[in-house]
Amino acid sequence: MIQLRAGESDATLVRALRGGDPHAGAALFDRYAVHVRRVLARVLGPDPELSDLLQDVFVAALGSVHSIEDPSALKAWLTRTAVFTARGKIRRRTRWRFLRFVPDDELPEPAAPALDDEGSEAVAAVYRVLRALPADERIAFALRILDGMELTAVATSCGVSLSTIKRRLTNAQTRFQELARREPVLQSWLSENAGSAE
Amino acid sequence: MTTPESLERLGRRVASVQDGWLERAAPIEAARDGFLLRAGAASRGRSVLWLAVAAVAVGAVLGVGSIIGPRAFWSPRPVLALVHTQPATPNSWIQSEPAERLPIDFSDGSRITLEPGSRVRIAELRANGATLAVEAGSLDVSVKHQQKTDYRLSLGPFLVRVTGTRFNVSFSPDRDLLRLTMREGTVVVSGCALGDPRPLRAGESLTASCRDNHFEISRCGQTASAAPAAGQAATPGEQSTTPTAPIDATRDSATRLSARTPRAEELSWQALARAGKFDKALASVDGASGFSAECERASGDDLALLADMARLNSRPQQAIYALTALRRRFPGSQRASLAAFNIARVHFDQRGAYDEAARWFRTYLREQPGGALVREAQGRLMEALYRAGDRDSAQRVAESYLNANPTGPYARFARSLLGR
Repeated sequence: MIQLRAGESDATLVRALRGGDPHAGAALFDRYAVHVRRVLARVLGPDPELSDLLQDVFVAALGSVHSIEDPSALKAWLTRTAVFTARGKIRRRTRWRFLRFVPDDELPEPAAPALDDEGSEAVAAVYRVLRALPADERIAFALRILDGMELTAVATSCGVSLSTIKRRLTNAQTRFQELARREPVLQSWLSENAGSAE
Repeated sequence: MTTPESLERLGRRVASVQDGWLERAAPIEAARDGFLLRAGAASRGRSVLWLAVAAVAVGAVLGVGSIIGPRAFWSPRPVLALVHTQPATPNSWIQSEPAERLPIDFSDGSRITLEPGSRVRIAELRANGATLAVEAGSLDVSVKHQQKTDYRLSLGPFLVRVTGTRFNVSFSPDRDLLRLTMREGTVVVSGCALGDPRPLRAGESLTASCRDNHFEISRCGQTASAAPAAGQAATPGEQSTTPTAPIDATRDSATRLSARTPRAEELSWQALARAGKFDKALASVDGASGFSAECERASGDDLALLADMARLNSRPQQAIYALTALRRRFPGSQRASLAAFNIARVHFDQRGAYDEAARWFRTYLREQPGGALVREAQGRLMEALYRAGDRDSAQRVAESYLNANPTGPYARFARSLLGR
């Protein structure tokens, strides 16, 4: 059994996971939970199931740890697992939308903690717009525009080529800008003279 | 006209707001607890799958159908044993206080609860179960049946093998006396007066004395569900029965009662919770007698489970309610002190109420000055005070923390508070 110590490399952590070290799962969580939670939050927005999804990502990761091709790229691999988990969640919601008696855009928003009214309103408006985008475009937009990821990292996280992610991002930005016109709170952010809004 | 810069600016703002509420509101430790519980259960299923895949692969290569070979190449992950959510390692001793029951939760969904004043050693943790050496006392055992489940209890000269069942067992080393009452399923008992391994089924009770070289098996009423052990309150769906006349221990097994699997128990909130379905379990409590009523009625063990469920499901108010009820109903117990620690965690992690968190961490430290969670409580007290804006008090705790734990997990934070 591999004894894990703080500061061990990702490759060592992957070896420990593969070797069945009983502490490796906890070590993986402790190392990357904050990052994974942030990725999920960026893609999904305020979501009461975020905590459950965070668990789902790590349970899924443990289940497929043998498929990691490059153990030193553990963080990127986990990010991809998080993105796929979030995409599954989005698609499940979309799939069952037709069964709802209330139109989707009339459903109450998941509550965001009210720490900053103006900022919270912007967050809520952004995710209202993003919910209208196709899942893959929404994800590309969230990772690139909201999280500030490099394009290559976004492509890796989505499991597609750089050219595909560029195309998705262009489409996402176009749609976002069109739909954002319906959101008054976003106008001050997206206008040409938006520098003063921040 | 939207520019790329304005879009990026909006993105940064959204990220900043999100990071703020993630830092304050999201209970990452609760997710960690939930993940650790789920991880072990998932690994068991995977182990079986991988074993099957490996068996096919090796069989194909060697041209034989043996499934023995792959075992040499695949070492499945052992189950996790958690005591108060902390992993217990092989060869660790676990002892319950004289006035409390202490559950050991296994990652496959099994639970073995030590009745008050009991002491066991975790001899081995395997992929398909565990071996516990019971030094003395009583256990309430609930082993979740899965393919190849294999739990073993070593009680002095006796051995109980379990593949999935519920029963109560006690062992007195002074008299080499074993008592076992089956509630569901089957176990196999061997050792000393019993001679050959003997199966015991739901509704049967065994008393075996090594000193007297004698054993007796009795059976319960047709409902075949034995009374809960002392200290455990009956729960909805469980029926208490009284043992009837003893039967001849050598009687043919065909005369024995068949096991009944009580459907209601399978659907009880406790069963749902132990399967990790916290949302459904809470919905079940809400839909039955209601959360507050259950807090008054539940056993200490179940009350702690109720609080954990609420905490893990991000329901801080309910978690605090259950933990407060636990302290009120079991005052002075170690469980009550642990509840104080958990109340502090909920205030800290889920409510961002750092003043309250500090007050409850202090309560724990006052009640359990030598407790197992002192280092953690001190560290988190320091952080809670700092976040509450009481830097002076935080620095005093930091001094004390560093004196006792110069390399502890909060040492870096303590040094930064003290400007070292």
